[in-house]
Amino acid sequence: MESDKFDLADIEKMVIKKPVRVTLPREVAYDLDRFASIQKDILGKLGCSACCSGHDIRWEFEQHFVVDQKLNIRSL
Amino acid sequence: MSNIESGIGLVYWPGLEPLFEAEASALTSLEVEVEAFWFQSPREPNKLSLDYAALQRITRLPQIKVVHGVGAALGTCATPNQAHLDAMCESIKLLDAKWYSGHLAFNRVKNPHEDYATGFLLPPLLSEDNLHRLAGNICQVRDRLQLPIALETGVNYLRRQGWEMHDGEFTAKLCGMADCDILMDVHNIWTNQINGRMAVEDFLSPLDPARIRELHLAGGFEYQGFWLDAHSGLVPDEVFEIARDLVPRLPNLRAIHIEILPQFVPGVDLAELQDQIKLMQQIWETRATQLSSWYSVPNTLSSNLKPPQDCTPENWESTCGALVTGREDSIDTLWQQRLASDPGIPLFMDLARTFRAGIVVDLLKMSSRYMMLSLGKETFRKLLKKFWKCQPPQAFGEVECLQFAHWIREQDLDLALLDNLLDYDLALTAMGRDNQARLVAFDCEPMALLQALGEGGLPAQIPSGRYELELTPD
Repeated sequence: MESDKFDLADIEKMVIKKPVRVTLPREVAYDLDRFASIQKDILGKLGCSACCSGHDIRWEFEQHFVVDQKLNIRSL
Repeated sequence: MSNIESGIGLVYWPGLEPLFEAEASALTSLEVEVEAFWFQSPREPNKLSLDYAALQRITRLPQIKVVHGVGAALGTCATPNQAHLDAMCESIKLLDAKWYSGHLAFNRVKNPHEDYATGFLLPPLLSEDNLHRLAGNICQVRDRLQLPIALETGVNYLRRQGWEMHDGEFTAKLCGMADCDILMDVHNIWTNQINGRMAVEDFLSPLDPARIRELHLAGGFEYQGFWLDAHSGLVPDEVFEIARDLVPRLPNLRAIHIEILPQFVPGVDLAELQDQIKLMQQIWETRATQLSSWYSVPNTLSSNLKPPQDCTPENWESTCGALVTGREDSIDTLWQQRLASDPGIPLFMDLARTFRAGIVVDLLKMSSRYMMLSLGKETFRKLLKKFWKCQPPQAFGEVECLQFAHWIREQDLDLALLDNLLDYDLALTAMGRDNQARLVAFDCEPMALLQALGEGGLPAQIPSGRYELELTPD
């Protein structure tokens, strides 16, 4: 007959560790973005694009912002 | 025509409040692109809801409000969308708006075979057939909204076809048939002149000056050999010159608004903008009290030619939409081939794509940066292009991002933290809609990762483990 006993290591493995919880207020989340000069507020971003037949600079700005392989941040 | 004068103002965007709130503000009018403050339910495309908090903030500003529509342009042969009209009615009521304006352009292709957003305002077919279709639709919109309607004169980057109606004559006839007013976008007609489409006076001459209710002034810049209506900052002197000449001829002018896109607001010197507001005020004071001299009409306006038989309003919108969104529709006939080879088509396509890319990098900011930094910008661009080929644009930013996130997860990229970051970006975006707290699982210490990406780089080392990031509302 098999024993129902577990050794300590088995018990440790069975204990499901709770994840570490970190709280981040929404406003602080936006402040994390160093490149926040463009409209930090989410307001107005979720709906339809604005009335315009032009060029959206957000794409270009974002590409210029990410650091290059030499870890230089390009200024805009 | 309604007698309410709104006066001078700006198109409202967050960031411009100081100009509206100032006690000594010269602005008496505020134009709202209300659909920017709507949400589309990600699961129910026909369900639109309003961002009441944002609209209430606008309501509290002291200016008279007018509403400008963007999402469902008025230059389409497709019948108006009822869910859109319902949300527009609610917005108008909330803001107590005095009139509604919309574009003489189309931004949705809708016929028995297809229904998709084009992601950009495109020029309508300038034909007699289309006049009747558009007039009927505009009347339906006016009946539903119960407000005066002003049709905005558009920018057109395409070359004129010999069989097309004259731009000004088409606008004049349409406004007569639909009994609607005109929102004269001075920057648009100047842009059309610079790009060789039509001289400003040629365009103005067939119009009825008594129908011009509102002016738009804006700025732009040169791009790929075209002048763009980009709303990118201050109004050029030439646009003010046209307004200076035009306004004393307009007996029913009710408002003048300057347009600046929100992403350009931080780059605008508000003191310089104040100077332009003063200039706008001076021009406003010169408006006419009665009809006076107008621009002389050229002897020949539209040619007697008609569009090719199969160039119906539906086919025009379907072909333009397919070309601009990169859909693989058949381009068989001569007019379609000519349209496909028009230099304006690659420009429209490029501009529409920059808007799609702008939405993704703005709303999926950390995921996009992570992909650009891990895979390289060129690979990220290629992924976006592949996505654009598979999916037509979405009218609403959040829905576009949800579709991109879904698609990019299916690409099985070897990026360990991409799922975490997509969940994070989507949670933050959804909070913008419902202001509810959210929990996002991370397989590494989230703050180290987010701070590094926030600085525009990847972290050197990130402790791995099971983490939960609780995003809390303001």
